[in-house]
Amino acid sequence: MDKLSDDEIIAKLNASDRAVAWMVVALVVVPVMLIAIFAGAFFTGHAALLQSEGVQIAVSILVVAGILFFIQRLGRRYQPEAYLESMEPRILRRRIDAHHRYWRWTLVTCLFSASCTTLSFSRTLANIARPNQTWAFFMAGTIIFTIALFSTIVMIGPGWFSRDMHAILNDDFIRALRGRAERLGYVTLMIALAGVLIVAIWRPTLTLPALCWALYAGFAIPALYYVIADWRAGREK
Amino acid sequence: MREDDMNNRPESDEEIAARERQRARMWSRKTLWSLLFWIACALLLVLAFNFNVPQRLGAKLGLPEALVIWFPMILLVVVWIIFMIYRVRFAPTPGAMRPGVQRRLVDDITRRQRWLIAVFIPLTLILALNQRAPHGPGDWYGPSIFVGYMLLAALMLVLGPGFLNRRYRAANADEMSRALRGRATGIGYVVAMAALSALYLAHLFAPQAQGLAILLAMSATFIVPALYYIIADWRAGHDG
Repeated sequence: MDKLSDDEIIAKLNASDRAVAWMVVALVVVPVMLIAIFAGAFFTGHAALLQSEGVQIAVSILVVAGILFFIQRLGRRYQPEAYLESMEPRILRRRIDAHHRYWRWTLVTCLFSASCTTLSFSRTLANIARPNQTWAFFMAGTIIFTIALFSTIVMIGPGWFSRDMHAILNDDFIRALRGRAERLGYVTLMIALAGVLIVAIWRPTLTLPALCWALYAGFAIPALYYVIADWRAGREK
Repeated sequence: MREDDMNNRPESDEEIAARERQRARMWSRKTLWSLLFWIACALLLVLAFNFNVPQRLGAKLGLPEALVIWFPMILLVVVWIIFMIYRVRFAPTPGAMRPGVQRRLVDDITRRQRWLIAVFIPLTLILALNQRAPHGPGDWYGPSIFVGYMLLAALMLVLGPGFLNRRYRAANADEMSRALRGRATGIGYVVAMAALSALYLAHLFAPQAQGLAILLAMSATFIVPALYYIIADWRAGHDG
């Protein structure tokens, strides 16, 4: 095989990224549509239809066919050979924007995940008068680990665990954005701590949910700022 | 602009900066002495109340008890107000706000800012430990002062000490100070996250100590980055 030029590698990597993005979208949209169809049938009184073997086989065939179609169509655009050199510093430096787009989406996913965790746990903690110690420890561990892990993206930068990502972490622009996000996070956390103090005085039973939300705010607000600022910076066309 | 008496020459930026430095030193001395005087007065007052001196004096003179209790405190506030009015005399030297002069004064102002933050550190600890654990909704006065003070301290680290004072603007906009403040707030963010996680666990182990734990967590969130800022700024060798 002829050796690819840097421009060709970058073009192939960009095409691959787009293909992977579409595959992810398809994998999210198909289950959501299926859930919507089943829920619709259930709530409109057509749940009996779902029991029909014919309908089940037809839906299964459609789903499998759809997935195969996506894999066949998009798989052609996926270029695994381009990934062999994708982490070479010369390629990495030219694809910093693409990496940041990827990390923006990762951060949005983390935000969604942290929101769901905080919402469910804080509701549970608010509704039980005295949480069982084991259960409370499990919740504390989950919340603290989840949010602390996600916060490292704001604190240290995306992909800090990979040596290959150092070129991206040291990008001047992203360091400046991270600095701003951290400043915002610092002020947010100080306000959140003040809020926790007020809650601990006035509504001591709500201290644990308040701590959950304070931790969440300490991650979510700077992360949201980072995502919007990075997106608005408009490095990519 | 003041003219030189001998040769009618306008003052140079360096001369204005030197005069401003001199005035600032005088201002610092006066502030320190006034503060010491005020603290001594406050301590004397506490001592006097401890031995019921004002009450006995009031009984002898036939003064109402409320007046006896509140008059010395009002007197202390008046002393402070007089000092604040006296401070107005230390307005900037004419021409001191010129950009050329301000650039020359950055190092001096940064040193003053270091001292300002250094004063805030023990003050934070005193206020936090003075609150002890808040005792329910009736105990709102102390915590609300502490919360206001901590938010001010956090803003001081983020925007720069004296961020409302235009004399500090050049120093706060200085790139070196901004970078150091950025690092300090980054550390503050990490400390705050760690403090919140610790609070969460502390609540499970010892819910009765929650009030004090929150006060100490807030103090640490300011003190750790403030110490970093002071040491880093001092080591940066602004002063030569």
